[in-house]
Amino acid sequence: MSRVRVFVVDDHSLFRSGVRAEVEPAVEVVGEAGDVAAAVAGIRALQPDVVLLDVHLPGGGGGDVLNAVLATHPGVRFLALSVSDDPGDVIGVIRGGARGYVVKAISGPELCEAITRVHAGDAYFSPRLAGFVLDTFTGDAPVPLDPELDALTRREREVLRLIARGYTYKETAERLHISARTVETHVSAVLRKLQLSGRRELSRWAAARNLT
Amino acid sequence: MTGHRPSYHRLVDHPASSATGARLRPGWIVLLACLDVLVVAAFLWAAEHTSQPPLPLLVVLLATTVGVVVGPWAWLVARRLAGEATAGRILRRVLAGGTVLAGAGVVVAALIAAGERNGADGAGSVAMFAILVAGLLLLVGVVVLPWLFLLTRTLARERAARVRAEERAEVATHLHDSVLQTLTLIQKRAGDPAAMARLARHAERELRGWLYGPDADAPADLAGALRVAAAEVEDRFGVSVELVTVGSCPLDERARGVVAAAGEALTNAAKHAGVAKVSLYAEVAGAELLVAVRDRGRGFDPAATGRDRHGLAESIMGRMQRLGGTCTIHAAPGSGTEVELRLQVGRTT
Repeated sequence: MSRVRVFVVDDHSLFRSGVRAEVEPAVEVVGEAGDVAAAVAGIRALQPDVVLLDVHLPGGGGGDVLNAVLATHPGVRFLALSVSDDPGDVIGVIRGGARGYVVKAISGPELCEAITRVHAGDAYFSPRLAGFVLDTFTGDAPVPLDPELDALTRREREVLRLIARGYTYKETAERLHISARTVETHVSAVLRKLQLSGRRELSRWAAARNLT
Repeated sequence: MTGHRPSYHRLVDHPASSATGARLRPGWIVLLACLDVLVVAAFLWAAEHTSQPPLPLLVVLLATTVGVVVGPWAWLVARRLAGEATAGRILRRVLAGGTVLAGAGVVVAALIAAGERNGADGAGSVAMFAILVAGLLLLVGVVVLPWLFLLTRTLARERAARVRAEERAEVATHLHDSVLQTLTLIQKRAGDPAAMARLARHAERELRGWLYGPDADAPADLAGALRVAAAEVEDRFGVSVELVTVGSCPLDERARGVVAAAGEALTNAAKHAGVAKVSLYAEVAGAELLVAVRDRGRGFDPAATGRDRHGLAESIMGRMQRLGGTCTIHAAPGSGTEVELRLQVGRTT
């Protein structure tokens, strides 16, 4: 099986080369970019499997890259990463179409696992993202959801809670006495709910935050 | 790097250099004023020393005078205010109002003149009055109001620039005190990886608190207090604590107790687990407060543990019991440890 082709988008060249050094043997970094325009052009030209996308970018933000690329190349998968502690930013890129979120302090092997998972079409929730999502669905977050349409099931909530506590998918499955595949299904369902409600409310949310 | 280097000079907007269309150059203004004075003087002299011209000529003369006085000024002001939607609208309205008023005066005068054969005098004064009032209106609307507007705008811009400069100074001070100092220390202690990691973590935390968080020195809620507790453990033992909180609650006596118990659990994990990362999770859902401290370290057998380890667990358990909560420990040799603290709390925030 050929290696996963990865494109890195981050405005710090030091970080880009760091990522390259950490993941390079396991996956193939085919290109990188430091701003929105270069990222969109590069991704369209190279058509990578997975894009590592910084949430904050000069010339727009990660959301702009998502919108532009997914409009023309819906098959490209995105994994968001940032140092941001702002749930609004992170939930924003997830609702914009990213399939996962990791913090930049993540270790090389964990990042490779996240890339593989996102490439396989699954969602990758880091503990912090799980926490943000739980907060969002609890209603404390700056991104309110429609509670009728977007409520999490009890099982989904349990899964997220364990991931937020630092459990891997496998450990979560063992703790809940379900299969790892079922955990993935639950996490993907949560992602779908976020993105569906995201499409519905993105414009409203963007307007409220003066992003339009 | 793509040449994206934000410079402070770019952050500060220079009002003087931003192009706002035509500038009112002093030379032109003086010239204009002299011309206006001359025309008005000539007009006054003519009114005194020559016989009154026929009505149409009088009207044309008056209109020209007002036009010469106000017109160029209005043109300059209009260009100056090109970017200001509200001011431009008001200016256009005043101009239109003045023109309509003058036109109406002329029409009324013409009607009067047509109505009575000898009424040329009366018609003349009506027309003159209308044009003078229109001129006054234009003077106030086109000269005084824009002048006041431009003056206030300049003042507001100066104040904004001052505020930005102060903010910039604050950012610079903060970066100097935290990041630059840390970078200097890291350069000096490049041979000591543990110290470097600790310094970097400390600087990161401080910067994060400053960028995203409320006052980290005096946490007001559970999440803030846990952040402080996690920071202490990170600094003391050189491990990293991955903190995730969902919801929060006010930091009352019991919540403080839970934070202290969580701090002890973190300390245990840092000391005994033999791993570089510990997870700390806190959730306030409904009336229940849950804190979980988890590591993937060497773990232990809770049933057959040494006196030392047992005592530590006991101190966490004892504390939770006194608070009226519970403490559960999931652990097995080789598969890490998880300490779960639960407490019923009153209302949530």
